Amino acid sequence: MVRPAALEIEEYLEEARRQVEDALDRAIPPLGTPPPRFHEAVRYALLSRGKRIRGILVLATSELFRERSEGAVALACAVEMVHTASLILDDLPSMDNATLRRGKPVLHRAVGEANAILAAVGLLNAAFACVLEAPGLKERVRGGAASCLARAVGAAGLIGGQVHDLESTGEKLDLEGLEWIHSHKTGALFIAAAETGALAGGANSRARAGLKRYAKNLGLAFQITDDLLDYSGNPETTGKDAGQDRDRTTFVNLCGIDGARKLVDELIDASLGALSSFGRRGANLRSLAEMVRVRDR
Amino acid sequence: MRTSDRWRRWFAFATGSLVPPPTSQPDGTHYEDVRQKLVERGYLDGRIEQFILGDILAERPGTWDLARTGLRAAALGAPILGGVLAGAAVAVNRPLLRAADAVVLWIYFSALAGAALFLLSLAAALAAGALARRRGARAADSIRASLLVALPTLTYLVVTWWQRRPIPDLAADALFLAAVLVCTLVVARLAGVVSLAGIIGRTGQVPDRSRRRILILVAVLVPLSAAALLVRNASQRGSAVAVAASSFEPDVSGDRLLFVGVDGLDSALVQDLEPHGAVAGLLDRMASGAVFPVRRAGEREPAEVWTTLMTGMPAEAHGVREAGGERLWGVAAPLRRDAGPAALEVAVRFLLPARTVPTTSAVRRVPTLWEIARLKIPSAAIGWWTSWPAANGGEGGGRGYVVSDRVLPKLLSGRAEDRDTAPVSLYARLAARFPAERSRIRGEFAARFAPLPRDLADAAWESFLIDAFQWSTAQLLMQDPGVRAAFVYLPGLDILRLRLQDPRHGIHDVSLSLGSYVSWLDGILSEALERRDGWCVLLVADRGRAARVDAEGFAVVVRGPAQPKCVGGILTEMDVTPLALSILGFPPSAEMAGAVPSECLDLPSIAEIPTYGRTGVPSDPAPSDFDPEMVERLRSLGYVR
Repeated sequence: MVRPAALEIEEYLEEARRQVEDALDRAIPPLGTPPPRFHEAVRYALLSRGKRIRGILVLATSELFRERSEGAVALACAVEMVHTASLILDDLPSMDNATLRRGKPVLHRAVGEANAILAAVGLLNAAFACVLEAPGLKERVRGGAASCLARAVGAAGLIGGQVHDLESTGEKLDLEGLEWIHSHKTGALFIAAAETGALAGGANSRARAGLKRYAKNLGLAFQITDDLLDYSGNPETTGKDAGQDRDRTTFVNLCGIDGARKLVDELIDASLGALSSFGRRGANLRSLAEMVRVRDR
Repeated sequence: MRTSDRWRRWFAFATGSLVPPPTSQPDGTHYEDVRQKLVERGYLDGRIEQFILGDILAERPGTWDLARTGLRAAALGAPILGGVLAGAAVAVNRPLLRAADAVVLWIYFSALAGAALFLLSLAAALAAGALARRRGARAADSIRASLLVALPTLTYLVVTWWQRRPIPDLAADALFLAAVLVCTLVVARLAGVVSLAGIIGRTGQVPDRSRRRILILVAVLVPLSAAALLVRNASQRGSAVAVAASSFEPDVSGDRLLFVGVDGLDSALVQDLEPHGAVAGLLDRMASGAVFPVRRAGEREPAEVWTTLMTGMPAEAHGVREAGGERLWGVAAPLRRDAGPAALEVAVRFLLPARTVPTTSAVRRVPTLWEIARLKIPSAAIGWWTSWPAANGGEGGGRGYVVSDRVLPKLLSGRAEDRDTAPVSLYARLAARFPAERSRIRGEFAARFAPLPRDLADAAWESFLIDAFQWSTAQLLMQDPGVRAAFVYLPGLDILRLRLQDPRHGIHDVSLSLGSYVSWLDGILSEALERRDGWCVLLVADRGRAARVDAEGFAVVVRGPAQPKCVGGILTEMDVTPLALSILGFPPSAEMAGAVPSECLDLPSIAEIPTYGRTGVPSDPAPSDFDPEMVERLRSLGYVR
């Protein structure tokens, strides 16, 4: 396996992250656009410095097959918008009632609950607008990407996961339940990111299936590292409240810190294995997976 | 987890539809359990699954995808299964094959196993898919498909090994069965993975599956280790390296030895025919010598039985098991057609590049009685198994005569080769007298067998010709005063008895034919046992192929060291060679499994020598051992099927 040099990897990830953030900045109306309060809320939530891993996943996936295109960047923005919307809703008092997100107070604390809800809904709509107006992509690709994203948001994805998460609040989950939540709340959007990227790149169904397997394993690895960071991470680095999950079922309290780390390693290895048919072209996706393996925020 | 819960989760996973989430419950799970559950949920796909299934889990595979998974599974399983089959084939054919032959066999068997695996796993996947389509995919569907393939594989391997194993050997049996079990697990696992393609293809649902890396490792290593051990064990026992004979000095001051081997004669037949007077001469002469029952177990081919009798060693040491073997391209020694735990007979007939060749002395690993005798004294050997190509002794040996088992067919067809007799000039002598000899034999046959129906007479003629020719040739060679030992083989009675088993022949005609033949043979054997001009006669009779499996043969020693009117204990096949050597004044060898009987014989004790030598495994096939006419003749005599 050919690995790009560490510096190249970091440069790639940083450059891709910056491109996604620039595109997000351009994709939403500037401050002052009426209604100003709404746009302020949207920009507050969307443009907070994040890892943009899902957006980068869209770009890296599409780049397996062709040069990075504006269409792929638009799809990356859409996925990030959906993700941000889900975070806003997740942090609400009626849900997780979080206080910190990306190192800042959560949106509903900054702009009020009603505005936060409207911002989330607005971002979801903006995401689909991004997909349907993505430049340079064929209608079939746009349709496919929209459908893919809709599935990831719906009952079979983020919403379904959140529903079960809420229902199980205060109860100890079993492994099946935990996996069910993670695969819906986190995994579904990772898979959607890989699928939309593959669609933008023009991948065939076989390649798309391999990428789906990559994203599925990567998504769970990402979530388990989240659990690990909740236990041992520094809130200043992670940008989130520490110990939020102490009373909840996580992979860490199911199989211990070492067990959870081992699982992360195995899941990352499995996701790397799913890239074997792409050879050198998969270097960026491999780097992304390695980044999840060692992430500290 | 309850089945209904599992089904609900898989339904959600496979279809993406909204399904009520699972009920939360306290759980004390550990890493291994978590890992296993994740595997079942479609994470952590192993390399084997990835290799076989590729990316089809995410989409509904078509027929070509299914075939491709079958091919990939076959590619993985074939070398493992082929290794076990090749190892077992080498073990069954020991000591004939080298490590290089094992590799060639491995390639052949891998190809066959691959084809079988492909078809079996495909059939199992289609069956599992059809079942899943009818009532939905279930967790056990993949296991059912595994069983569909595993059960026939396991049964086939165990049954064929049990039937074809050369001798009961606890260690080899245990080793092979362990390999078979693990091999079956590998095959079952691969079929289970392939069945996923069938199930997903028909239903779009992904059933549970699991994977344990350590089990996979064990599943690959155990069969291959067992195969390697089987090959190593077989080659060690057979000792592929040639060994020279130890030095020895025989005491040849006693009588000359006439060794007569009669195939198809047993004590039950003698008792049956005694009231008809068909064996009167034989019984009369036997009374003047020492008689020993000879017992052997199992149904084996005459080539193996008589080579064992003439070498004093089992087939695992001398290597001869059939009159003809299958020579596979690239394998030095011919294989038993029914050898090994594979349908080799079908395979060589229809699939593999093989042809039937007669078994020759190149296959035999140890020397026979006549070859041992001619190390020191002139001897004559007539018509024995594996006597072709004929050679008449090593340097400083006693030389003598060898009339190989191909001489009579060559005289009949008029096409001779240098290696049919030793010395080569002997063939010309035999050819010159053959027309007259044949007329004489024909006349004698007509006189004795005239009352027989034509078809029975025809059946008897070939037996009669063979025995009469070999006996008259023995008499001719024994006229040479230098010959101190003569070995003659009379297979006619066995050939006739086998032919008379044809249900078209009536019982009356059969007993008439058999009675006439044995009566004539009685005359020959009486003549042999009656010789008084310094010959000690050792007559050895074996029950052959047509007698009951519990029928006993016998050995008779007349004159020489024999005590008259003495009946000794039971001999085994392995005792005959040491007995004959002792009569000749030759020492037995430590490699021989039998012993000289202590009763009824006045024989001095002779210290054994380490070995009479052993030939190495040939690196190339014996030149021109492929002889279609000879194969056809062996087939017509019932030796090659």
